[in-house]
Amino acid sequence: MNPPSIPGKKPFRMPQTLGRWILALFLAALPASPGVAQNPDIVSMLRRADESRGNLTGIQWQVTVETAERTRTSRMTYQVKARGFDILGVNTAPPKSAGNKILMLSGNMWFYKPGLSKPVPISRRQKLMGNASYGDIAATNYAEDYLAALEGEDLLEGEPCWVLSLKTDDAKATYDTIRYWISKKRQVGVKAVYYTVSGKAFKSARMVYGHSVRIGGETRPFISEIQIFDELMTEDVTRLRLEDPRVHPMPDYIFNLNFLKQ
Amino acid sequence: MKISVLLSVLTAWAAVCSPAPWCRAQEGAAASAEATPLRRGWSENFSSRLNAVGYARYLDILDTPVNPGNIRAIPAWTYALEARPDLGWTTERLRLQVKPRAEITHRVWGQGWRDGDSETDGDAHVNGWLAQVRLADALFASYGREDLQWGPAYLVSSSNPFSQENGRHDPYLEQPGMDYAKVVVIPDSRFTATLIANTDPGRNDGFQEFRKTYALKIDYTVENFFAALIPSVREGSRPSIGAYAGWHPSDALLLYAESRYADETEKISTLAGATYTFKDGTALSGEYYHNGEGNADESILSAVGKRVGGNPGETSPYFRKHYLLLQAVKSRIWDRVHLTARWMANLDDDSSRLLGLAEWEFSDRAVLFVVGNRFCGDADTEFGSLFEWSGMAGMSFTY
Repeated sequence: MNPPSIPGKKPFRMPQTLGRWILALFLAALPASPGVAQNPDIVSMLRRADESRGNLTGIQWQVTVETAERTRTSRMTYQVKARGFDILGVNTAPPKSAGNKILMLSGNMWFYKPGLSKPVPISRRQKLMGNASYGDIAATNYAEDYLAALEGEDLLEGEPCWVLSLKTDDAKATYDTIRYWISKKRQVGVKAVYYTVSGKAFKSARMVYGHSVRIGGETRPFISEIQIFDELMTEDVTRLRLEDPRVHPMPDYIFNLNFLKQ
Repeated sequence: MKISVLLSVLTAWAAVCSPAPWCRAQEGAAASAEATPLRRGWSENFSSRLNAVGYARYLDILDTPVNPGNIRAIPAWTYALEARPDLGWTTERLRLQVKPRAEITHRVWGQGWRDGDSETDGDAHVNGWLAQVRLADALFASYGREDLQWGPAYLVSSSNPFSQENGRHDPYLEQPGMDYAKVVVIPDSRFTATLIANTDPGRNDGFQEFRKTYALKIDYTVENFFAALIPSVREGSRPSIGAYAGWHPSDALLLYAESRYADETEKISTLAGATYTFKDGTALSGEYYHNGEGNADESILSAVGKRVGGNPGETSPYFRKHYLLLQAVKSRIWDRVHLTARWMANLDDDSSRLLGLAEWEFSDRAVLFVVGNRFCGDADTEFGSLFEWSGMAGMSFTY
């Protein structure tokens, strides 16, 4: 594969990562932003990688979030429906959390649990479980929030990858700086590292593509697991397993706040 | 206690406390390859959440002009066991839900004319139900009983013409449902229009005369912003209009406002608030509420009396004019402990209420909770006129 062109390493907008990764969780494909159009080769590469994490018209999966902190392991299961950046997650296990729901619509997030009188608007910063915040599982539009530059190449477990650097000064973004590895051969994002404003790595993610789906008449690898590591407390791992993906259109009513309490 | 009520309570408890057939059907989904198409259809369409709550609550009752000598016969101690199953049946076009409730309550009086009395009672009722038809992807019609609430505020849902009490201060006590007919139209992902008719008070036996109320709720949602406009009219009254909006200027901050103007009383109520979430997940909220229906100068006894005999369109659960709320929430401490601290102040009579809530998820099914309230203020103030303090502890168990 030819390397993407990098005219003076001029930064350009692209889909953000991390959250989106975890988000793969509830993922959706990322629309191209005006800035991305400045470099069609990298845009194409990113788009393909993004498509392997979601689908524009709609996707449904079962997502298991498992966190291991010290000697304790916790597990939650969601039935997730996603379209673009709109996401509905319904908690199915454990029983104490069954029926809890998360709705993300146009960057707005609401949480509902049985017994509450109404859904509560929440911030993407609020914790979901372990290392994962709601912003990790239900992202905003990375294309609008981040600037990307090709940083170089790397071998990741023997697999040649492009390494991108993503930066933002947008207050709405969950992370300030991200390094993002994309497999040259498979054209999927395989690793992301998230940095604090001071430049210290505090979280990283690895992505596994055990599924395959048809996209544009082509069979493509599809996300099946995301592992999130706490870089500051190296023992903690949060693992998202994405199972039984079903690609089909999702009408507007699926993501309607008025039905969240039902 | 009536035998039939007792049997209903015991039956509901038995349903909650034993593995039900539908639960087994759901748990056995992995073995669905061996199931018949009928059984597969049953397990795919049926949903259930079986919740049981048991608690003890103590109210430290004051002797004040609002409740002299506990003339209202408020019990000091309440012990309750409640079965709260939520059952649903959903197909491609139809959604049916029912929320039957059964409870056994034991009350003990410690003051006033019933001092020393105790009483055990049982009750079975349906607090909510729904029958909804999807006529098209953009058109839904439904009828049912529910506690219909909306908006981002904690103190009060001031834009709601049906009921402004949003139950946020008693999170383990269910709010009574009322009966509504609704038609929902979804022209696109940004707009939703909902025609609502409140046809019956249901279980909400408020202290005011019930009148049917009709509303049109128009929701608008775009990038990091949401809003709703709610014109409404109550039978025999002039129209009112409510609205709320919320904006996420960053991933940490939410700003919101809510308001309602009633043409009948020519009074406007407005709430403004903000929530900031720190990187560790701690959320701080602040709200200011101006209650146009309230009275800042009269005695609290007089203000309550006027509301009871006043305009049915005045639905605020508060009696004064100016309120402040501050709240801190820390969720998922060690992934299983949730803490809430809330302070509400009446700025007119200098009374306040401090609420603390702790929840501990100590197994996959059980949650222990403790709720404490401290009421401050003179006997003629809103928060200081009934209780000195209250405490509630219990357990929620879900199958």
